[in-house]
Amino acid sequence: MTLARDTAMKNPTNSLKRRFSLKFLKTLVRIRKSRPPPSPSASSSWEIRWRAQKIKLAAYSSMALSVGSKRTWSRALTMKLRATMGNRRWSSWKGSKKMTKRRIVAKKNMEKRHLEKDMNSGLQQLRQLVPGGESMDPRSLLEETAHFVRCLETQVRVMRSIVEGFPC
Amino acid sequence: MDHPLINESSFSTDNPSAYSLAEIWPFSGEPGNAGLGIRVGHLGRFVETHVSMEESTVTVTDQSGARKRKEGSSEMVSTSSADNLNSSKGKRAKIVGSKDEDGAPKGEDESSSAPENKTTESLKGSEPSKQDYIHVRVRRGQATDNHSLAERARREKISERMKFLQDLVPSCNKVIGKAIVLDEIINYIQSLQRQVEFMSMKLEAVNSTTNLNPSVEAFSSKDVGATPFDASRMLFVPQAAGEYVQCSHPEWLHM
Repeated sequence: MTLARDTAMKNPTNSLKRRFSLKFLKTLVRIRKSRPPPSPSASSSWEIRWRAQKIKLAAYSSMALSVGSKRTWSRALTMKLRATMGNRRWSSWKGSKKMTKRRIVAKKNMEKRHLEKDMNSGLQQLRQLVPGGESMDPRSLLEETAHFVRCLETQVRVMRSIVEGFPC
Repeated sequence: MDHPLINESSFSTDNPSAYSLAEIWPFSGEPGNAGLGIRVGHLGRFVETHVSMEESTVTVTDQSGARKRKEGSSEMVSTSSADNLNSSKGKRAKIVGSKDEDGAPKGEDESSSAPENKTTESLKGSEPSKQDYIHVRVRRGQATDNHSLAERARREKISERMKFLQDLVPSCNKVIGKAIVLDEIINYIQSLQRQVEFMSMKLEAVNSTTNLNPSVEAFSSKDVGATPFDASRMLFVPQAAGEYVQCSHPEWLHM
């Protein structure tokens, strides 16, 4: 199933990592160019969070763009991001942060009743986590999850190496 | 005294499929159609034993059809000419007797072929069946009807994907059980997403503390190279004339 994809991703000339890092760097540069960096004293925490949010959105969108429309989750993510950017509202992403906390609590509750229908509730949580996963059968959901996890790992690795490039 | 047509020995088990009704009964419109039924029943039986190993369903229907025809026919065996009628009556007794004989072994046949059917089915199931599109391994004692086969195929595919996920996620290598693996995967995805957020905040801090550099377009062509991506390597590409005051190594942005 994913052997072809494995070789594609490890292929040095056209790997996912390469594509993602290129796109992400370009977006970062554009962000830096588009608005002047404010002085640290003037920026409120809200502004800081908003800028960080923009970078996060840029990361996810560049990842989704690098994957293209081959995957259900990338298509769903692209559409969601376009809706978010189009409305210039980042509250939907803020909402997803809240959902994370709720999901953590729900997970604790789930651990208490560990024997009851674990598979289905786990699948339900997966559906909420993976974009576009609400209407997928379990088999393809698991496949999408695998690809999504791999892309997320790539994204984190690239971002970390960018950040570590700055010693300050 | 055996009528050549009624003679049972004319039916041999060697090649029963070569017999066709038109061949044996050139006169099909005779009043002895009931007898025809018997003959068909016998013929059917021989055909059955010939094909019983191949098509398990066909045997059952043939047997039931033959049974029905046998029960329906109680009259004499048909003959073409009237002068055989007397002999046919005598023959009827013989044929009835043979019918009874056939009935008993036929019952045996059916009882033996019924488990035979099941074994052939399970045999077919235990080997990858060539007729199905999905190859499923069926173990002994498990139900082999269509629903459970399909379900088992579905479950096996799901567990195959779960195994792949387990290999991918480093934390759930040692655990066994779908639920725990799923929990670990969910944990992992959430931690990755938190890391992305954290990194983006860091990047934002980095962005806001660095000066804008004028020549940033060149980096895309210089690519992330033929070597694996490594920011530290990009650090030392002495490409841009640095005009950087605050942060000492932002050259990586425009290798």
